[in-house]
Amino acid sequence: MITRLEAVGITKSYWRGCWPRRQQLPVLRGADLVVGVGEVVGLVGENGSGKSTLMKILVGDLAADGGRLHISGRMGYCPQEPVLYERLTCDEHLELFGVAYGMPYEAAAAATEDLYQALGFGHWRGTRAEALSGGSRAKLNLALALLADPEVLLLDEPYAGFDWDTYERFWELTAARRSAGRSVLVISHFVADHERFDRIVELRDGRTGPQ
Amino acid sequence: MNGLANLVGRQGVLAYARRPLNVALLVVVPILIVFVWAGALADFSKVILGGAGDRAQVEAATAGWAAAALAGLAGFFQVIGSRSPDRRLAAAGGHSAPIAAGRLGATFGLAVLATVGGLTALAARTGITDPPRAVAATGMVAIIYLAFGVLVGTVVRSEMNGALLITLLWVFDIFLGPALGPDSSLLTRFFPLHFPTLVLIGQASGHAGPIGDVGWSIAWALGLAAVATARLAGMIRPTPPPNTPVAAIAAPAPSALLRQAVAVARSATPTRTRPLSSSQRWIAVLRAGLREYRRNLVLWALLVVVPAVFIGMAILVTVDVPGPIALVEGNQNFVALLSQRRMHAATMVPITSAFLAGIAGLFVVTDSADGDRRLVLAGLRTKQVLAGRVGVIAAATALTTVAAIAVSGLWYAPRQWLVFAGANLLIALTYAVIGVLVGPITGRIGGLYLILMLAFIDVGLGQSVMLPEGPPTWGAFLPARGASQVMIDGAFTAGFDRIRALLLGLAWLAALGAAATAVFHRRTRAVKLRQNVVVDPGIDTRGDDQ
Repeated sequence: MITRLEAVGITKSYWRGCWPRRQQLPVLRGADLVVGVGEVVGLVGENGSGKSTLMKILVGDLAADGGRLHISGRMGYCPQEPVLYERLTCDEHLELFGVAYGMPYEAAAAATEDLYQALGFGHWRGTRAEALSGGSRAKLNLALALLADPEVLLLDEPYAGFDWDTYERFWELTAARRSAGRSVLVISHFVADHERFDRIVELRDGRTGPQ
Repeated sequence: MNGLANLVGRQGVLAYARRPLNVALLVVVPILIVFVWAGALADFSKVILGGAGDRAQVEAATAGWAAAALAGLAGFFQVIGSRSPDRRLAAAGGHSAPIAAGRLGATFGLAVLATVGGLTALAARTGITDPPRAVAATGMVAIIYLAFGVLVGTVVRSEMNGALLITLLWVFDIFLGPALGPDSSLLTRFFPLHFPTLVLIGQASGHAGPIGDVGWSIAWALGLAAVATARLAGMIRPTPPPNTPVAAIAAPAPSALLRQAVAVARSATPTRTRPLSSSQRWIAVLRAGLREYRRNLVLWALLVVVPAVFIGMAILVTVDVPGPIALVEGNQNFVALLSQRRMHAATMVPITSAFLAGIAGLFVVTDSADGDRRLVLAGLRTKQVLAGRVGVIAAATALTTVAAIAVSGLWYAPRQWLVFAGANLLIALTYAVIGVLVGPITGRIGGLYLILMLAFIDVGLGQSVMLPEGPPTWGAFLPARGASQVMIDGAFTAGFDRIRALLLGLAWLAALGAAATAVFHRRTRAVKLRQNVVVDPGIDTRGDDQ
């Protein structure tokens, strides 16, 4: 299997409390994870198991204490809570992130139109983020991660704010990406449709293993 | 019902106590205002505003001012922080009255805490000569600002805008009020603390009519409390459900979804050969930042209206008598006699623009922190994001400085426009950088008060040429010293003689700028390159500046 993402022996602890009652709280104790080309992998675990910590380490938002990580290709990240500029419109968000990804304006504009249609929120394109509904914010959040067509897409609890229609669209989009050789890692505390994943990995006691 | 009210009230006070900043303010604000500011404010009152400058009176009033600041903010945060949960609680139980009563009980408890804080500081500093009057008047002041805080909390959606609104009213109330000023302005009599302050310092206004100063104070307290209560109850009350049938809305069919999704994958592919330049990237961040800032109407109003009102009113209330000022002309030091009003017009410009520019720096970096981090994770370099944010802050700083200079210049034109404007811009930029520096460390609310205090202590007192002995020695260690000397040179002399002062101001700006850059970089950068991580994108994703 050709790998897109390989994490080996990732460890991470948080420090809690003040001296002299300061305590080390280990969250990840050597987590391993491999995502191959064209694979859709689910990472599940109970609340507080360290899923979001692992996700932040994978995307470079948090430093690990130890371990090794190899990523091949561009990575897209969709955080659990939409991270948006409240007074910018959907169009302006996609334009700005197109620049961040290094996309020429024409390509970013074309990808933007496709994403509006694929996710069905084009009629909100001129609306500021602060005025969007929760569902539309979730769609914009996802669209920002998808804009540059990343080889590896990491999604943290992606469908928490989706309605049923968006949920269906999301999985069709994921299937299309798999067909195009793109990899997807979905982190969630709850997986309902096992058949949609190629593999499901469980995070328990800071270590990963098959579910 | 009473049980629910008690529970809401108790939990409201506990929630206040659990926020470390609140506890810190409860201790720091009375100490700072009563212990540190009182003497300087008395001098300020006597020399600049033409007030009595009675130190005992000013000290007595500071207890009330500390209570007002604490109570106003406590009421505001109590209401704005519980707006949604309170509405949900009311919807769950169907009764809004006990929740409103509980919330008001909590805010009243906080007013008591604020009163005790102010009076304790006063008792420790000077003792309290007339305890019943001091307790009653300080309590009324606390209730007035508490009610104002609650009122703002029911109207304003943004924590920052609300806190700023309360702070600005407080600043106007204090500096233009009867304890500091000569009480000759009709306009200042309509400020909420006008009559309570007179009661607090034991001075009769002579214009209170039959109900007297105490009567007006009680009327202000009860009137504002009644309006705040009505607004709070209205905010908590659940909206009745609509009973008009709603037509079903058909969801769009995802017919061509697969084709579109593949098109997304294909359309993005050519981007990998033509990366954007670094300048295109930071300009995109700047453009987006300016769009965002332009849409925050409250900030725009603050940047333009506050200089106009603050400087205009300060000029109006200043007694126009001659005062000594140390100047340098042709390398010769001399003391000139100039109009106090003219001096105040010039010195109010850096105070106002420093505070507002500091707030602009603070707002911009804290409002965009999470989004900026996501932009960096998406591929932008930290320095490109920082360059865009600096552009926004510089634009806001220039705007507020120009507004302040224009207002002051309309009254009294500086002798050297360019030097005067440049020095003020230097001070404002220095404080904008301080805002960028403290924002990630203290958060928005802590940063707001830090900038307010620092701007007042440094630019307002530490560099004041209007104090009897001139600028105090300790002011030499604060950021505005060099640029303030250049500003005075530009305002009152015909030639530029302050090269060393200019270099000192620029050095402060450079040092603070380096510190702010380091803090911004540390908070925004991606951490993957610090680990044993290999990223092999196979393409250049970060522009052409590598």
